[in-house]
Amino acid sequence: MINSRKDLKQAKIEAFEAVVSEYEGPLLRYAGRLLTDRDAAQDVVQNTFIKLFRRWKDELKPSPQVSSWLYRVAHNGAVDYLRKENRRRDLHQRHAREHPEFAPADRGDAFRVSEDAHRAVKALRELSLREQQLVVLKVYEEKSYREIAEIAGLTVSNVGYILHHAMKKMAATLREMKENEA
Amino acid sequence: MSSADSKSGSESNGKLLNCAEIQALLFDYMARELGEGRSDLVREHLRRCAACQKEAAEIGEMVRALHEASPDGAIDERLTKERRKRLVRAYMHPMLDWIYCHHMMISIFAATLVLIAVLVALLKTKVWTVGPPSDMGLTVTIGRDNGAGSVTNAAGGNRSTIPEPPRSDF
Repeated sequence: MINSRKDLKQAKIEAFEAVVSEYEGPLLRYAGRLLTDRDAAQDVVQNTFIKLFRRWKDELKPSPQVSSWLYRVAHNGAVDYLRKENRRRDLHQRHAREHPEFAPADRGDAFRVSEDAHRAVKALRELSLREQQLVVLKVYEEKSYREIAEIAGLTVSNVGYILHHAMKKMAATLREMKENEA
Repeated sequence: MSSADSKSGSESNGKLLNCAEIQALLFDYMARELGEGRSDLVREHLRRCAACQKEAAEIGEMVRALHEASPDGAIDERLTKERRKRLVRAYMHPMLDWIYCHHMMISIFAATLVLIAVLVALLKTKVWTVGPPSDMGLTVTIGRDNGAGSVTNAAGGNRSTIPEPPRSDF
């Protein structure tokens, strides 16, 4: 009896380790790129796993279903965070306009990237959250259209269509930025 | 439409693809999401069409810039120790975790319960009564006849004595 309880506990711990170790890295990268904030990404990923433990009814082990579920929940968590953050940022911007002496300091050379990279990220931020999600999943996570369709709840052809238009929009924004700078 | 467009149309299912159609497939082609037949068509078209080559280079440049802006190394690969601990608790002891997460609500609920219990207990033991105050007055008399004062309520009950102060010898 005690042995079987111990075995059960051991099996539970192993399942936990397998799932968390497998997906924490990819989810942190994904949330980090959507949010551009390490702490926020950590929070989102932590909450995603907690929801998984509470709601996943089948056997817990790494699988494409678990992967899609995790990405979907992480995305929703990131979107919620961004909405809250946008409201807060509006307040901060108003505060910064009224009190320029409290403006944040320059973060230094270590955080600087090339002008092209800076522009590309700005162009990415101009896209809708859905487009950003798809671009991040395709460009950084290198997911197939089929996997992206499953995560985003879209059809494969929809994924291709949205990505094509997202890239066109980004290219147009980049061209515009370069022209304005010139 | 580019100058090469009319000349370099590619054939798909017996139909020629123009530059606009090829460009619509460019990202799919670069993401290796096209089937072999259509990939060959795009590859063939790109070999001959300068405008589409430029478009493809633009997409490639954009993807490269995105990677440069957010390299994998700049992002955490693991959850912090504290967050992992929290996950272990949520997984192994879900009830404990729920209590931990809702400790404020639970504290308020428990405090309300205690207050209600104390109130009920006080009412039951009649430490005080709810209702109009009694109209029975209290009369205090200090007499010398029997050498002591007395306190009498209006109904004449609860009689108690107040000792007379000691006499002075002077």
